[in-house]
Amino acid sequence: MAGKAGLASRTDEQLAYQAQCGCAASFEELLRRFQTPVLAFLRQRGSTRDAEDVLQETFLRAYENLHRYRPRWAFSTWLFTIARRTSINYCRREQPDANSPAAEAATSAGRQPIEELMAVESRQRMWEVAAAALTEEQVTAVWLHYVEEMPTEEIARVLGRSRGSVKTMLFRARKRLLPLLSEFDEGIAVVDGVADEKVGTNYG
Amino acid sequence: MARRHWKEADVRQAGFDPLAERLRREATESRPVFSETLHRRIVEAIGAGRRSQSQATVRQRGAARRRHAFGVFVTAACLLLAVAVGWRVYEGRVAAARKAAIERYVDELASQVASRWVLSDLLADRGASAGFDQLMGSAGLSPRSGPLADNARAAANSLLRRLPIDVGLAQSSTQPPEDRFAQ
Repeated sequence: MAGKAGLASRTDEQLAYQAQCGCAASFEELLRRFQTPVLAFLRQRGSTRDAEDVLQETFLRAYENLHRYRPRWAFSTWLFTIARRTSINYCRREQPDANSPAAEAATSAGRQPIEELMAVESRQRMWEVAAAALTEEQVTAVWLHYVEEMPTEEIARVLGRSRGSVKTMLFRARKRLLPLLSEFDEGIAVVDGVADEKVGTNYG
Repeated sequence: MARRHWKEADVRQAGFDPLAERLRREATESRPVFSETLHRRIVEAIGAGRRSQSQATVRQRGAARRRHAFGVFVTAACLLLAVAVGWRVYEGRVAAARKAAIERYVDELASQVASRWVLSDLLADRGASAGFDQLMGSAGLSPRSGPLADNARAAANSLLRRLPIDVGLAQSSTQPPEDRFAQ
């Protein structure tokens, strides 16, 4: 079996194949690679402590169902699909408090009026505002698109939707988030500098 | 500072996506660091899951073996039943064919016996019977050899049906009826 250095040079899909053949070290390597991105994804959907439990459950499920993975799709797509479903099931099972972003997104479908969002945005991060303003699917799509830089096709796979609907979802999410972006003074200051250099005009 | 209200057109014109930058930056800032403790915890959970899975597999194998044995038993019983039923059907058909062959043989034998009797009768009493036939013919009636032959066939048939027909059939399989009759 290949050593640690050998495993590190392999792609996710190669490691997944080796893990399917019974190589525990390969799965451990995958676990190392995906611990941080999946945990970040799950944290954005719920509380920090719950995220670790969900992460553990996600990897357990992935290990138990490893024989079902087909290399036609990226391993990350498959894993994020499991992570999302596990997170949804966990939220349903544990009945989280109504203030968590995931719960808000799931229950209210993120359709709060813009004025309300404007009122609460100053104390929150953009992602929290996004979680309150968008649906769970939209937030997931936005995260996978901007943070994980996943292609639309793979996002569609994670969400179980068509490519077209994912594009629409992203377009609507942007349309809803762009006006809210201006409320982030700190962010605007950073963005302003770069934008002014590029555009050279101010938008009032 | 004046607030800027971004629109898609502005983003396209700027060639810069402030929303994407903002979301990426926030995600990077809040990205958790790799935790060896969490890693070990997950690895141990998977190991424990694997052990319980293997125990479950042993139980499943035992149950599978029992199911397999029961399946074999049921299959064997079904096969035996099918063979028994098939044998009964075959035996019935053979018996029917045998009975039909005996019937044919008896009929054939009876007609032969009758024809011999009529012939011998005619030969032995040729003059009288010829005269009688002629007389009957001249009176517009049918000759007597026909009814005689029928009567003889019926008599022979009734006689043969009293004989042990299986013996007759056994002989018929080795010798044509005419030859046996000639003997």
